[in-house]
Amino acid sequence: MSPPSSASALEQAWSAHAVERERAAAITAAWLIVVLVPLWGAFDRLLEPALFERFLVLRAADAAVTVAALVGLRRARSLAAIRRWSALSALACGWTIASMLPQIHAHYELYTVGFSLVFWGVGLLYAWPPSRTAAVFLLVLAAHVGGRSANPANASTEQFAGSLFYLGSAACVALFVSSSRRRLERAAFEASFEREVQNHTLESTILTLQRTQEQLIASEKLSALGRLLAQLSHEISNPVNVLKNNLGPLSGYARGMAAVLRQAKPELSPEARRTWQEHEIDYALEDCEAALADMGAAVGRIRTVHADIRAFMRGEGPTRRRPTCSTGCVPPSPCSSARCPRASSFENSTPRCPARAASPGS
Amino acid sequence: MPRVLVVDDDELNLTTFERCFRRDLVVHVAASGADAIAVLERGPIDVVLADYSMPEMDGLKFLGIVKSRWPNTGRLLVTAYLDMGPLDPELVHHVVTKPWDREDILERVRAARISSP
Repeated sequence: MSPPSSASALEQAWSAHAVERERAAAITAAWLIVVLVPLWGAFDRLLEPALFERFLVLRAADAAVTVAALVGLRRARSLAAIRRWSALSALACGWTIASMLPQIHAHYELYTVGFSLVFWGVGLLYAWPPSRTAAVFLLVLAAHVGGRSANPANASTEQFAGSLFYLGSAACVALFVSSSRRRLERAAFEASFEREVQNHTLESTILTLQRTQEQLIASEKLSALGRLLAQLSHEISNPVNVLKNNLGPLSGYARGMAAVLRQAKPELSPEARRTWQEHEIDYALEDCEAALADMGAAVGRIRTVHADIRAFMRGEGPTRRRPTCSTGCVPPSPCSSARCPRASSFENSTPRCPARAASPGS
Repeated sequence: MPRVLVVDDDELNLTTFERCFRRDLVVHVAASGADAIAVLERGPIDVVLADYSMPEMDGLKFLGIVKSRWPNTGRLLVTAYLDMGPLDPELVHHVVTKPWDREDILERVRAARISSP
């Protein structure tokens, strides 16, 4: 998720927030109207029984419009649509009372107070832009004035002027409350948005730090491993050099001595023959070369490991070859144990290896 | 036979070298740079093989002395390090990596003997 830092991102978030907030407010207001209509009907019956049936029709029409607005509000996807439905609901409520008020005989003031609930309700529940709130209020007040013009006889001029003054005052206060509420909501949203941006930045920083730390640890481990391998490679170079390069001369010496011994054997004294037997010189002469070859193979393995270490330090992969089963092994040879019967030998019956790359000695 | 001086603080390497090349080269050995200079002062040497890693005087420093005092002597550096960085070809005629190969050493000695002015 990218950090919502720019002004346009703030406006986008505010619009998305406004859709849900205004939908919730409008639905709450609509439900209040739906719930209050029966109560207001009971109120009408008590105060103005003669007008009850006429008022019931008006209130039922108001309830129907409100229910339609409820459905519309639930389906609306845009802020404009939500505002249209909520304004319709408020206007229907205001228009209903404005139509009823000029017909009132006895309880004009009480109904005026009831009428003012439209303004208070809009002021308290909605955070519309002030121009929209003012327009709705003006329309409702216009309906009130229009109703008075249509029925001038029911209420006195003083009563009408008083009600207009009271309702106008309620409209002004509600307008102020509505716009203040809007400003406060916007400020709270901006603060919350800013905090969210800061949290996001902080999370990113922490994540980057964690990644850097992990990379640092891995790099440090690799560096330590590199140092260790460099040291190891350097330290084993001399012993490997000595082992590798002494095997050649040693093989030469062994071959020379074996030739001399075999030549001298027929002329040995009985005592020398006994010593020859005791020390299994025949066997030793045969096995010496095999043992040297074994050592050569073993040194070869160490050299392979050494080469791999060097390759690792150069950043290369290990030396992979396609070995045969006999790679690094001595060909079938006489048994190297003195306990075996003379002239016994191993027979290599290992099946062919599958063709797979590997390091000799692995 | 070419006269070769091997300088290495590891005695096993010196004896191994003597053993390997006693039939092909006249081998002189020295366990330090100072000893090697003493050997050089005693008589002519065709090629020197100096181990890089030695206490007191390392192989490069020793080869620098050889170059200045015995410029006609071939100079090989023997080392276990793979990456020695760029070396002055006038100072070091060739670098031999441990563990060395007998045939390679013989070839390098011959080449160093020819290339040295």
